[in-house]
Amino acid sequence: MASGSKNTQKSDGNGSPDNRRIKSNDIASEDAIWVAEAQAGDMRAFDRLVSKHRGKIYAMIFNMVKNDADAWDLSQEAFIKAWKALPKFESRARFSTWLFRISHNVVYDWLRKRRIEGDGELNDEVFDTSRVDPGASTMPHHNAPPDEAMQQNELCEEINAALAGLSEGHREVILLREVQGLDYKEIAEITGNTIGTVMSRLHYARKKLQSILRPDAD
Amino acid sequence: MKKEPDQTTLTQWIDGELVGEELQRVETWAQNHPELLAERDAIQAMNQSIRATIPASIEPPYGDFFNERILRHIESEQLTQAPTLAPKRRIWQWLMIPTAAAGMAFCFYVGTRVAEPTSITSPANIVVSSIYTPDGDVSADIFRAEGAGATVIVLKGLTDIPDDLEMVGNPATDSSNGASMASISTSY
Repeated sequence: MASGSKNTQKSDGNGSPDNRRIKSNDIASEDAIWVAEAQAGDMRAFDRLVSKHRGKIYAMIFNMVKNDADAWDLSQEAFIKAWKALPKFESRARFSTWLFRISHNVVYDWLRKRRIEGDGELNDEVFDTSRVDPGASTMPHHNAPPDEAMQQNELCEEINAALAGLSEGHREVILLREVQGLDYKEIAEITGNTIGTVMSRLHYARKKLQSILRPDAD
Repeated sequence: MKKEPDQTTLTQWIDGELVGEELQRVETWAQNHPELLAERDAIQAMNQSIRATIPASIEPPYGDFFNERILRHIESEQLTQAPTLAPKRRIWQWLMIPTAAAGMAFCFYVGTRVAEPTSITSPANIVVSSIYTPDGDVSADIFRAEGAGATVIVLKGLTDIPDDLEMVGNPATDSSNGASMASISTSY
């Protein structure tokens, strides 16, 4: 069984666009080979794809549902659905984008179910970061000096709380754009919206985030 | 640019996605609207904080078990599906029902034939030709009473029945299968 590379990985903001493009192309070609093998029924190839992408999928789902146990289950569900839908995957989109699209559906199905079970109301506690165990292995870990770490933790808490204050649609576009670094077209493919809707959502999501993070700025 | 740029144009401008004439127009507009520049800077700083705070990748706990569970689930689903055998199995299921019913009926018929009492097995009609007596001093004579439908066996050479033998109860008769049987309990 293949294992993941590292525990947490920040979105790449340092590499040059060219370097990132080359890296992205390498990753895509590696994915294409494994996808072709998995489509031919090779479970080991699919296992490699799971190991490679599980970190991003789990992080995205965790940031949407804010519960590590649910994120664990939903991520697995996303990969199982991906396996079932793999014969239909035609490599027009990146494999990771396609996985994000499946994850989006899994998360929204789960949220819809919770709404129904919650008698038509979404339980806001789901997104309350204070409910997440700070010692949970899914919480971001930092090895910064104590004062810096404290500031970082405060900022982390503020941002998580602000993200929790957004609607799912707004939170999702922010995460896909700022955290996963996807372009508008990819976000549109994942969320099933037009590029215009994506940009509009980004605009309002940022406004809302600002109003939560800097209430005096309005 | 005379008109304020719309929200999608502003979003593209903040994200650095605008190029060419459109970029020039927005930049010109922003020069006369410092609040727009301030907003862009604030949003870019906020985006930077989000990127620095929220990890893009989090390794799920128990990664190997995570994969193992997915593969096991897929394998179990593949086993339960077995698509090519399904239609044949359905035909067999349809054939099994009448076959089983016919088998049961046959077994029932055979059972009734075997268990049915016949005149040969009726105790009243048994023709006893010889009787074995373990004690050599004892002999047995057989009398067939046709009218009564009974066979009487008379044993000779038995020791006398002691006087203190107590006969308990009445003869119990069992008239099932048309036969008559009698039994007496004895005790000393």
